[in-house]
Amino acid sequence: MSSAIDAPSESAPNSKDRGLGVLEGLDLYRRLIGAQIRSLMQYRISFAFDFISTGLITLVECAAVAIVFQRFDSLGCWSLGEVALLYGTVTVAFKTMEMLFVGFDPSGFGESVRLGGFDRIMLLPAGLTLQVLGSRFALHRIGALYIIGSTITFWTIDSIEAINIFTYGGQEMMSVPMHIYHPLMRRFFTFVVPGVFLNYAPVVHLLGREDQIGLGPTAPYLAPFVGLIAMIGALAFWRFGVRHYQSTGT
Amino acid sequence: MRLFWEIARREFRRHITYRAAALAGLATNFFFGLLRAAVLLAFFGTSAEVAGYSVQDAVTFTGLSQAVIGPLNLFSWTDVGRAIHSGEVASDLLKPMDYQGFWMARDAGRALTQLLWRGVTIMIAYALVFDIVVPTTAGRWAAFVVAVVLAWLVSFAWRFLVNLSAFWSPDARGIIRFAFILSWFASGFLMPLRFFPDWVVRLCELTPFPHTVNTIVEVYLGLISGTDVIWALLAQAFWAVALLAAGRLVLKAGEKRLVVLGG
Repeated sequence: MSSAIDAPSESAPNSKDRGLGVLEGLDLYRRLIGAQIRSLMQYRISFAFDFISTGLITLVECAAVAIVFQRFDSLGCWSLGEVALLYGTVTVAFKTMEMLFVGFDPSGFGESVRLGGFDRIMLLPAGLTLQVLGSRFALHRIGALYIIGSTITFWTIDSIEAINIFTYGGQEMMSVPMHIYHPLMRRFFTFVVPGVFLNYAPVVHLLGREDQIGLGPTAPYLAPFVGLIAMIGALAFWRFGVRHYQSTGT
Repeated sequence: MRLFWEIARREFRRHITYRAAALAGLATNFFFGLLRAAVLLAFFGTSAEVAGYSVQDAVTFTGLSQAVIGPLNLFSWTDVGRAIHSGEVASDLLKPMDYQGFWMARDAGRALTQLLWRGVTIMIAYALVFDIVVPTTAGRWAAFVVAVVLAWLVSFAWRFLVNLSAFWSPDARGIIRFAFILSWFASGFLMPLRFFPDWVVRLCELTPFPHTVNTIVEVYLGLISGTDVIWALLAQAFWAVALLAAGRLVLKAGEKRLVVLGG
């Protein structure tokens, strides 16, 4: 197979400096991801297991909630179908994010900092962000949070489980109607991690429901802007982390 | 016996030193508990009791099920599978000790740390935020403690068993993951089993999983009482013995298959 020849480290274009053009950057990203997909496909059974078990997680979570709906009439006045729409949108969004940003997954990235893999990446003649993005790709599976989580591992070395509150916690929180939560928690996911704009506000608008938590008429359209601002913030933090990075010495 | 005691003690001391990690895990488990409590409260709405659960029972359920994540290792455990794949298993098998007992002792030490760091503290945090159920009789506390110990035994026994699939399959991680995902549903961790229709509960009871989280919750909340408690504990003991025995048999068969390359 050609995968060995095209391994990420060898496929970096012959640029002299780190300032790659946008097109070269895209090309490099495409090659890195291509190599990842080829390597995933070498282990077909393992890939099939991953694929099925990811589906199984979604199935099991949905089934538990759907079955419990038989006992109760509604979840905070929302029907099963309406909650399913919330769950579906957040799951698709989150899995797409995981697929693109898994290189920044704090647990995997923490290991690369601990074992010195990140030092090796720094020596290669290509942009750091691009390389980390291209270092892993999950075919089966809010990028900004992953980048922040990974940056923290520069200082903590080990990944911190608490970041799950923001990522998976956000996902869990966003899969049911926001108005059921305590105002304090709602504020946290409006101002600190602005998840409320990503699916709750648009879904409320789409279903023609009354906005029960007073987000205002512009809220359903804010998601792209909120996403952009969060991403810019996360990348700035990432740059700051890279500048202050001290290797673990391994 | 002495050896296993020493192993368990060392594992306990090793884990108890990771205070920052324990705190982060604690915060995460507690936060998810709050989310789950909010969902159940919204489900209840104005009803006072559903399927034997009062609102207070339901909130306590979310605390208790989050509290046992650490001690029972609900999310993932592939240590034995990894030891088999890496070949580390070979040197441990050469030592004059029982391999299953060795892992059981290690898991006991780890479970005890998790119980202290996460289990007890989450319940205390819950008691500060919510009005939770606290057993009032010594009998119920005693039954609860026995149920927790037996639930850990059942949990360790099935985790050890599925990890042994690594002797046969290079994709053991996938198989282990399947078992864990099923356990979230069938153990009554995601939702109390009483909220499910009878036929679903009967399906779950074909597996050992309800004898972990669900039994702990029902004994603690007093949803079962009198002789039913004795029967529930006996069922746990039965599954623990059966799964441990199965683990020994499968381990024997696996040892025969084991080929470790030098290097």
